[in-house]
Amino acid sequence: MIVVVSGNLRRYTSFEQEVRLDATSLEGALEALVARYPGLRPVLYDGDGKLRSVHRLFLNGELLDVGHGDRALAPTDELGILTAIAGG
Amino acid sequence: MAFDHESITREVEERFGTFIRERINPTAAHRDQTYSTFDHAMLREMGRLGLIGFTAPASIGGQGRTWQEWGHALEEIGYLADDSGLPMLLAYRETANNLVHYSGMNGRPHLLERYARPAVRGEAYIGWLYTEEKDVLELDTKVVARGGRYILDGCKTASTGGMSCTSWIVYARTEDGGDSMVFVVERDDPGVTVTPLRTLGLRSIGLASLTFEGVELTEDRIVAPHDGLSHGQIFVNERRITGASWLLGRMRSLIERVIEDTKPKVRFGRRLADFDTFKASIGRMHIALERARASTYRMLERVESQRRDRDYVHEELVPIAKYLATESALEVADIAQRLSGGHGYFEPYGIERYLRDFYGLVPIIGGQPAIETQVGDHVIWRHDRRLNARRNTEPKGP
Repeated sequence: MIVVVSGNLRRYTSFEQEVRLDATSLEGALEALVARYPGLRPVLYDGDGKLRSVHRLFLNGELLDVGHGDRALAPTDELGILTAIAGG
Repeated sequence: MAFDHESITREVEERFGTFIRERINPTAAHRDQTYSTFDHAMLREMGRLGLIGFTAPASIGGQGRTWQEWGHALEEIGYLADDSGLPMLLAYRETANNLVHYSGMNGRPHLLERYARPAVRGEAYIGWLYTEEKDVLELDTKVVARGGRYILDGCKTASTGGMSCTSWIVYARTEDGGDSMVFVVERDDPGVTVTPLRTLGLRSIGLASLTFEGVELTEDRIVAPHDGLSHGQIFVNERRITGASWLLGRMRSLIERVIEDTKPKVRFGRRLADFDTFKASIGRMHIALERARASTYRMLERVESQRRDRDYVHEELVPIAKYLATESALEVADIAQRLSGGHGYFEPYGIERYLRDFYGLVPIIGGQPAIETQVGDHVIWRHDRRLNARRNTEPKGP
């Protein structure tokens, strides 16, 4: 499967927009992503290990509700992470 | 049903009109020329009148009004006040006060009595200090735990209202760099230095930079024990909502001012106001205003529907409304300069002040170039995701 990250996050993935991973669940994909790019972990997750509200997940273009960590993924699936527009 | 803006117009006039005309406007030019901000006596008066605490919950002395009502009220305050710093500062402080209330309701109840209530009464002034000369996800300001106390060191670039603040909500990274904490720092804490920051416009907001050198903080000053990033995001999100609403009122006021200023002028033997080019310029100003208004009102309506969950962080209309209001205001101010000749350029007439003040919105609440880039990035990202999703669901050929 493939993870696609939006602009603000790319600095943590060595500016790779698309990251190919071996994962069979949503949770597994995110865990594999932060294992490959450790600097991404504190940006994606808060201190309690919950996905920060500034990020939204899309599976094949469809917005996912939170709490779908065990959702199965197929090898052709595309998981998108879109981060809200930043700056104060 | 469309929002009843007229009722807010009447309310603002009845509750705040006299104060703005008699106390704010006569000293607006002086504040601009001397970089002076609203003094504490004036801020207390604002608290008594209800200019502070408009959206704060009744439980801490606020009026419990909606963001939509506040956005419309700020437009009217911006229209009445001859000082862009007033609505700008009010919008900012409202968000900071509500952030302290939010923190008090989420495990730090002592913050309510000590900071939130006095702030809503207009007797304490809270600033918000996150930004440094860094990416939003990085902080140099550091806090170290030592024997039951916390030692704070670092610098913060700019504090809106900093010259009048009595305390600040300050974000700092932890010693190991893996987390961030949030504290209240008081102005009188040893090691706090407040330095005035001179600016092109919006001079009355009392912008200041802050330095912390070995500032000792006790446990009761903790606002959020971890994950300062998420905590800070609450402020940023809410600040964006009304951060630019007041520009609508300032644009209206400037258009009226230019029309009045032009009436006695005669050029080439004709009244300048009779020239078609003048009418077209006023038309362009009004069209810019209405473009900003349409976007801002639509955004306020959308945000109000999501208020319960504070789930407007992904609402793209919020930065877009700020972007459009700022660009429109700059366009209106630029046309005003060209129409007004020397009156536009000379300081005593006050028209050039609008242009300088409006530029203050370019770098903040999401800088204009950053909004353009990120909106574009999101549009392309969504386009590609839709395209890929279609490709994945299309039947494969033989």
